[in-house]
Amino acid sequence: MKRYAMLLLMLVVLFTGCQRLKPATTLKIATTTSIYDSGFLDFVFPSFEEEYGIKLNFISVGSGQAVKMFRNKDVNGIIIHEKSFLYELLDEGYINGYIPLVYNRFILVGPKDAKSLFENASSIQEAFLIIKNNDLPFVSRADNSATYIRELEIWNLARTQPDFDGYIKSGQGMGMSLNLANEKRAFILTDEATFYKMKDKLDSLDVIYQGPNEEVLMNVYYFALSSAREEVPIFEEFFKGSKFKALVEEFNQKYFKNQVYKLCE
Amino acid sequence: MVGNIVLSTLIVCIPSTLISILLAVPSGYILKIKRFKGRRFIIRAVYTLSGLPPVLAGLVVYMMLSNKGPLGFLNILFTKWAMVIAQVILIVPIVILYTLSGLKNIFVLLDNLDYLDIRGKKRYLIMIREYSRELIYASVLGLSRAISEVGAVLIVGGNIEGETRILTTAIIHEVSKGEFSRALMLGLILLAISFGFNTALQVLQGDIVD
Repeated sequence: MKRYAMLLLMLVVLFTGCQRLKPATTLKIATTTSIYDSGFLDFVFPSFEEEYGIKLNFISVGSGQAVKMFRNKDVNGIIIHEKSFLYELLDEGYINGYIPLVYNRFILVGPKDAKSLFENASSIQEAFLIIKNNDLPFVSRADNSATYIRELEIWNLARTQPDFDGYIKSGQGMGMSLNLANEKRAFILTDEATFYKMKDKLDSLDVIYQGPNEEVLMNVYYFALSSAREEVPIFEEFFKGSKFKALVEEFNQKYFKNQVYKLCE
Repeated sequence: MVGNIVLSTLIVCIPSTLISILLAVPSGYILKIKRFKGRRFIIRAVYTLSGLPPVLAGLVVYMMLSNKGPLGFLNILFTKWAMVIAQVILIVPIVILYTLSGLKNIFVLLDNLDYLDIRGKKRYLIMIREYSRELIYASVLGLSRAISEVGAVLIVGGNIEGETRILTTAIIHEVSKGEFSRALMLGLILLAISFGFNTALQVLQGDIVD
């Protein structure tokens, strides 16, 4: 008897939850990991879903993979922070346009005690050169991510190659790479949101360099929908509305006590 | 939140184990008793596939189910269906191998029964008992692989919250965010579920076999 009870229990577990009601439209959105891991999307979009009856399923992958999925039409939309990818998608007709969502900035973080070395650095590329010339440990994402592409741009601006012994290629996402830098007491280029969200776990790291005006450190997140979809105006309305503005503000206050994500004017 | 993840884990892993058993046990039986051309080759292939890296299985299933792939019209990429398919591919070879060795034991037993001249109802009962035992072991094996696997389901499921996020993919997600204690908690839940299943199957087995 006992075994039939067990079998019955298993079948009940199996079939519950299979028949949940689905909203009218579900859109799959491939998103870059950094903005997803910060919890921003899960904070902002439930009220969008409520208001417009469109459910969004986020699939968090690296920017490179996100673009690939989008090209294969396996997802309906995309959130990325690398503009060159968007230009390619525009050229190829996969999208008709894109909407800037929010922005924050890239910063250089590293071991607290090394801060004095960088007192005279007046640009990010100077700071990078100090790391290279002193052969200090530096963690690079070394994946196809937007952050990595930006890092390479900075090495280019510095007119040099990252070919020193301290250069570590992690091949992992932003969060794991920050952990690695923390353990190795290394420098790393990161976006503000991921860093501040994880700050209490990164005890050996501090902000080493942040440039308020440098174009190369600007980190804008863009939203784009497949040209086959008709919901773009709905998203535009939502992103321009006061509700979105209030949610961004609330998120900043709750998690950063600071204006980390800023609205694109 | 966690309840949802646990539920999704069960909704994926239990069907994939059941389907795998349904496919693998008859295949193993045929491979054991029938002699046909290419049989040795198939057995070698099954051995190889039993060590298939989950990420590779995931990648292949992904490419098949992608809109650019041959099965794109099914439109099941990033759903639990895709995860079940990937897990079945991983579990079936292991269960086939297990069936082959289990049948070997049973055939030895049959010889012994012949030798001892045990026939009729008694023989029938002994056979049922042995087959059930092997089936339960095979289920435990399949379920263990299903519930602990992450590489394949992450790729084909997409780790969508409330949809395709199961315990293992949630652990990866928490680790990548640096939330190690939350990841550990999910890991403990995973172990507890695994323990529960093993206990349940042991009770089932205890009913049939001492």
